[in-house]
Amino acid sequence: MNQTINQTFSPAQKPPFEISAWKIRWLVAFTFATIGLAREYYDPSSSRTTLYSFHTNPAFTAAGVTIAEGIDEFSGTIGETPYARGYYYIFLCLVVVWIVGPTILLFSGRYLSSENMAQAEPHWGRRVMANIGFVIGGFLVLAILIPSIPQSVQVYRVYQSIQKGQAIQSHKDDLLGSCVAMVNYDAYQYKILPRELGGGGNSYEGYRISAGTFPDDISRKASVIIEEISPNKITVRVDSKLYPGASIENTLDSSGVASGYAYTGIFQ
Amino acid sequence: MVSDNTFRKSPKELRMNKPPLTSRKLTIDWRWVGVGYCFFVVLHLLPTVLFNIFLGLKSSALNVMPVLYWLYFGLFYVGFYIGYRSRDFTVIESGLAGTVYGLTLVYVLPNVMLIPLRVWEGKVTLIVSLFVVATISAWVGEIVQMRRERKMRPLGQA
Repeated sequence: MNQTINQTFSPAQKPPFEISAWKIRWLVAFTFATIGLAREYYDPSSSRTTLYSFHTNPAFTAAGVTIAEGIDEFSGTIGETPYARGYYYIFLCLVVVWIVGPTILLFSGRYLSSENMAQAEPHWGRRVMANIGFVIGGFLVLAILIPSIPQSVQVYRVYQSIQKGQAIQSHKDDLLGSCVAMVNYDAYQYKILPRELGGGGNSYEGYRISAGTFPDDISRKASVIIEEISPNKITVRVDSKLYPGASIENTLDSSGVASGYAYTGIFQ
Repeated sequence: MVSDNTFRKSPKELRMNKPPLTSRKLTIDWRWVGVGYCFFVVLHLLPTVLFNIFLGLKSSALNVMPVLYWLYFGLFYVGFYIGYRSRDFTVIESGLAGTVYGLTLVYVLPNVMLIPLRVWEGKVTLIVSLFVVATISAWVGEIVQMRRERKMRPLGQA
């Protein structure tokens, strides 16, 4: 309900709208861009029909076409897949997004802020066209800017995830190559050594991990636990200290062959 | 000296320096309906979409309650802003804008709020509730605006 006074006012006395015309134009452009973004994100099937999809990933599309061409070339099926449509699509995307959109925005914005609009009664047709052009240009420009925010975050997350995955794999390889292999070697050496020389005499029983078995840097990264020991079999578990809950377990048989590798935690 | 008519003026009329109120006419300012709808889209839908993209949400993996809290709380603050920002008494306008926004959510972007609405009763409930929340929040915004203007009124005026 809008309470207005029944008294008539001349247009000059009418108070202006609370929000300036420029803010309204940007607001409308933002609105269209937001709805386009939402439709693009939640309804991928509409990506072929909405104008919003024109710009979102021309680089990815180009990369996809390049990869597909490379695969075709590698497999010897060149020419069977039509790529001309992809080329035109990318070209159209680039033209619309990077040239047409900003051009319309700048020209219509310049017209709206120029002296033409300062006149008492600017030509209504040009004014309408300039407003529509500003909204369309703003939509095209914002349609690039808005998704760039989550896309940047996603790229950063993927980068972090790859880095973390590489660090975990590197740590796992380190433990496998140094710690597990060293315990296996040490245990087997103990087994084949005669009892008279301090060994197990063809048995794993009595094997203990001595303090000097590992270098200090390995001791800081992991702790080794003998889970099960019998004359012909020994099961060793290596717990990571960098990633709690992650461990590697393997079993050494009587001939010194390691098998039954099991990974827990983040090593899985 | 303060006249009797001054007491009958609302704070908005005092600020706008309008003549005394003689009769009232109920109209709808359609400009605020359109601008309010844009406000709902930009200030509520856009953060929702960006938040969902950040978290990678595309379905109702979350509990429904946080979604509903954000839906109505977000609508409340946008409706409050519409009521507070407008010079006139724009309560119904905010409600209409909220209704159009609800229609957009239900029929144009049905997956944004991550709540599956398959039956028409649910859709109607959502739209009507959006109208009610937007109206009430704009009304609260109008009250806050009037109180603020009352505080800012110069001495000597009622």
